[in-house]
Amino acid sequence: MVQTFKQNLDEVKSKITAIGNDLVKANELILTALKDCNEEQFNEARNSIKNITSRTDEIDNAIIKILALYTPEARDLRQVVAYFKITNEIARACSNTRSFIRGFTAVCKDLDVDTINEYTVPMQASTVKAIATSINMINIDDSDELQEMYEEVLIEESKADDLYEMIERKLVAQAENCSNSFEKFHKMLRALRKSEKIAGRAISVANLLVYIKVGGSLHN
Amino acid sequence: MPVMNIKKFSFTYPGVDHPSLKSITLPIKKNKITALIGPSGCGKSTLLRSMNRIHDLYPGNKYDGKIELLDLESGKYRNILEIKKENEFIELRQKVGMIFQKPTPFPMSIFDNVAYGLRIAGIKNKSELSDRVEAALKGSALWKEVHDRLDKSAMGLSGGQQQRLCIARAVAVKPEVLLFDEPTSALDPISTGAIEELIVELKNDVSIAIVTHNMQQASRISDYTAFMYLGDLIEYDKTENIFLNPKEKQTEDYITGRFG
Repeated sequence: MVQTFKQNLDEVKSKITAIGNDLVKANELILTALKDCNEEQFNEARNSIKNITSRTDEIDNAIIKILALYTPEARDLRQVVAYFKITNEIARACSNTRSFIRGFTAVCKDLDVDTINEYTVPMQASTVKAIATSINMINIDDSDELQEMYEEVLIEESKADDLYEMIERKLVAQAENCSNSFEKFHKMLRALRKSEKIAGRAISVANLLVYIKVGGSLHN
Repeated sequence: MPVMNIKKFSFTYPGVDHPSLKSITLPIKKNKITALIGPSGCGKSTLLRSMNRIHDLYPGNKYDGKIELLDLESGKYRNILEIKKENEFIELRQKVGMIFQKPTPFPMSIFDNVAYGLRIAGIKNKSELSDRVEAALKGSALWKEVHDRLDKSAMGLSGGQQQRLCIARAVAVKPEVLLFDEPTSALDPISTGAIEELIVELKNDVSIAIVTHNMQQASRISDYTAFMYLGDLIEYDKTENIFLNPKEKQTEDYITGRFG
């Protein structure tokens, strides 16, 4: 492949890393905002992923241009296809993040979040770790290191999943004792579900990065 | 600013009624790569060869229109179709070099191949010749492979090396434009890759026009692409526009392999 292909692909890679890092930043802010339903920090988190759609459009168009001009093959092709899908995963994770903020802030002042903080904070911490690790994998070349990080993403996602189940049980129990707030508990659960989904997207990103390295078939 | 301006250029081969090129207007932009694509017989090689009037080696061709070459010193254009004197032809072909489909090394040493054009240009001084040959071979990414056997026959080089030697020979006389006529069609993928890298590098110093049947090659390396069909220029645009959003249906059909 000629040098211009590499330059274009490196540009795409750095743009994906940038939106990925903004996603991580937004989720880190959420992590600190969760504890006391800090509206200011939630707003800051929302702002850090404000222009993601136009940025992902830009990346998508750059990838289409690469496909049209360079018709990549083998690892080059895997890389371009994976970056296309990773961009989509990050865009959807950003959308999940926005939904989380919207849903959580709508009810967190009315509910006693202290009772679930022991689960929501570690769940969000796992989500942050999963997504941060998967984004860091973009710039890792060493196969062993990549595999190690991939397993870390799987563990953190699994932790987020388990913690969500615990929150679910806890909130359902609380809702049974407080039937007039049932809708609010339901909204809170739906919001927290988004955090767990973000961790799921981290696995998809990690899968795609392993696919670039080892090949085989694409699977979600 | 285009280094070459082709204006309403028509070309007819001797003994043929209809023109092979019909009123072509096309700029060759400075320090850019322009790819000429189209099916066999569309006139792209004829157009390329007209750019340094190599067709004039055979008499009887008919021209119409203009092919203007920019004089980099004066900043003025000169219509190369008005050239008649032998020394002017030599000067033109130094300014507008050509690389052919098959490597054409001369049956002489590697050094003498590269020095050939320089000697014709009147450079006799041995140390200057040596420096220019070395610079040309370095510029053509061949120096590392041949620096210890410059006195050996060029015929012993591989196909890819021979093609790079031909590029070195053309580059040595410091041309303004380089014309490539399917330069990699006789080469394997590795040599093709090396030549493509070299062409992209060369555009920093010269303006390039390349005829290719390889769509991927055109899209990979060129900045502008011209699609020709039956002697007409159908579409000319930035390469990414041609390969992503061509305006003409004929262009789209051709690059997607649905032609005919």
